[in-house]
Amino acid sequence: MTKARHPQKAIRTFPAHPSALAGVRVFLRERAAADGLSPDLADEILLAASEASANAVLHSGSPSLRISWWTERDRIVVEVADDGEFTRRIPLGPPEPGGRGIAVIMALSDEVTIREGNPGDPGTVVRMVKYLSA
Amino acid sequence: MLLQIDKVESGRGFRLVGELDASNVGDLRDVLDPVVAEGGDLTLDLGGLAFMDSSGIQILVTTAQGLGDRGNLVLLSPGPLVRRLLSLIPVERLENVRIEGEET
Repeated sequence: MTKARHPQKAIRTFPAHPSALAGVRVFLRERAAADGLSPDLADEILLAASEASANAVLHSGSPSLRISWWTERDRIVVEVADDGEFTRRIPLGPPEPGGRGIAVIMALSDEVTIREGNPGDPGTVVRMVKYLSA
Repeated sequence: MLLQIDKVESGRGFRLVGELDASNVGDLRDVLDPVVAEGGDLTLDLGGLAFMDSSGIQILVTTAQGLGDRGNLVLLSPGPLVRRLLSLIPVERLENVRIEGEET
């Protein structure tokens, strides 16, 4: 269903291992360059999507993660999906490592939607939207 | 190598070159732990760091907290991406952390 609406959708799968994070960044930088994004915008998407990827690698228990990137009229949408569980770590006291990641995603995205995987229904999807016009 | 950690000749500090993430933050921790245990001021030159994520923030915070009133942590010349990340989680609010140098 999404293919017709998002002909430019780029999807890449990575092993959920810390050593894969550098490759995730290569993919994100390639997409930002292909879409001609400004350096600042590219950095913000790179930071946010990298945090979502690191959470999938470190906390989800999933063997792999998928990154999807597409444009929708006036916005860039990046989704980081895994087949694991989402652990809620909203920082209230001294932040835990995962909590800082979520804070970075929230601060750098114009919209964030999180589909939380849980033990009975695994699969977390973090969708980050960035508006192209300020 | 994704991250290079070079000891600087003058003073107590290190220059980080490359990209810092969950895959190599342990290497940096191994280098910094003895310095923190010893105490005293510490400078980290971030000018060559093209990427850092919140695992990097975490180690900056624990390093500053580890030094406490025994030393300052100076973050030198962070580039645009690292500056953006630091602006979200302002580590310089910790009393013994300073950001110095021009943007690289």
